Amino acid sequence: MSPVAIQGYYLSRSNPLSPLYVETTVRLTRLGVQDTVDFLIDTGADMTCLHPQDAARLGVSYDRIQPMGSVTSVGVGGPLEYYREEATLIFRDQDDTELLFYCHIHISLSPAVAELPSLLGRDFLNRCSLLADNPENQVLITPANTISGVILPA
Amino acid sequence: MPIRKYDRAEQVAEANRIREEFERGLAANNKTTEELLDDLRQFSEDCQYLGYNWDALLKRFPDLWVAVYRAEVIGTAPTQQALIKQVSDQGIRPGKVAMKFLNTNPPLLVV
Repeated sequence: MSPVAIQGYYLSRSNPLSPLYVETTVRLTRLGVQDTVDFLIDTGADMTCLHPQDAARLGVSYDRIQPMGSVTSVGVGGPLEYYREEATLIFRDQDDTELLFYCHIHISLSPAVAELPSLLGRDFLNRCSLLADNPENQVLITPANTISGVILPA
Repeated sequence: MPIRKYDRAEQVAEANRIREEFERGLAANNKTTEELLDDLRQFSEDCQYLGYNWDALLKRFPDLWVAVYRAEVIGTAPTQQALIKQVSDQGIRPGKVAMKFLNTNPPLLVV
C-alpha cells in the first residue's frame, strides 16, 4: 500500500520564486471556528501560524483570543506577539480521505504580519517528508506515521 | 530537553482522542465528513484557480483584493474588510472563499 500523501501547489507557474501552498480546514476548538485556510509551506517557521488575512476570513478577533495568553516570537521583522489556541488541521489526501493534525496554532492579528500568509511550520512538516519539485510542478507532503487518519510523531 | 518517544499504545490513545474530538466537531457543525472534504476540495480548486490565473487577474484587478468561489471571481475591493462584507452580502461565508491581494509591487517574502 502506498503511503498517504497530501497535495500542495505552487502559487504561480510564471514566477520563478513562487511559494508553495497547501489547503486545510482549520478547527479552533475553543472558539468553535471551522473553515478553510491556504497555508504557505514554511520550513523556516517553528510553529504553524494563523495570520490576520485568514483570521479575518474566519472571524477571529482580539477579544476572542486574548484570554488564552500570548507568546513572543522572533522573526525577520523583530519580536511579535502570538496567541496560542488548540486546533485541529484537517487535510485531504490524494485518496480523498481526511488526515487530522492536532496542534497549538499561533495566531497573530498584528498589522506587522498583515501581508503575510498563514504559515504551516515544522511542528507539522517535521512529521512528514516533503517533495517540492518545481520543474515538474509537484508538491507532495507525506506523513511518516498515521494511525486512524491522525498524523502523529514518527 | 530530551525528546520523549511515545510508545504504540500511547500513540493509539492520542489518535483516538483526536479522532473523537474531530467527530464531535463535525456533529457540532452539522456536517458530514464528505461535506467537509467537498468544501476543502472546492477551496483547493479556487486557490489553484487564483494561482494559475494570477497574471491575468493581476492585469485585470491591480492592487485589489480578489475573492474566488467555485472558479469565479465573486468580488474585488481595495481592502479585505470591504471584500469580506461583499462576500457576506452575497450569503457566502468568507471562510469558504479564496481571497488574495493582487499586489503589483509585492514585498520580498522572507519568512
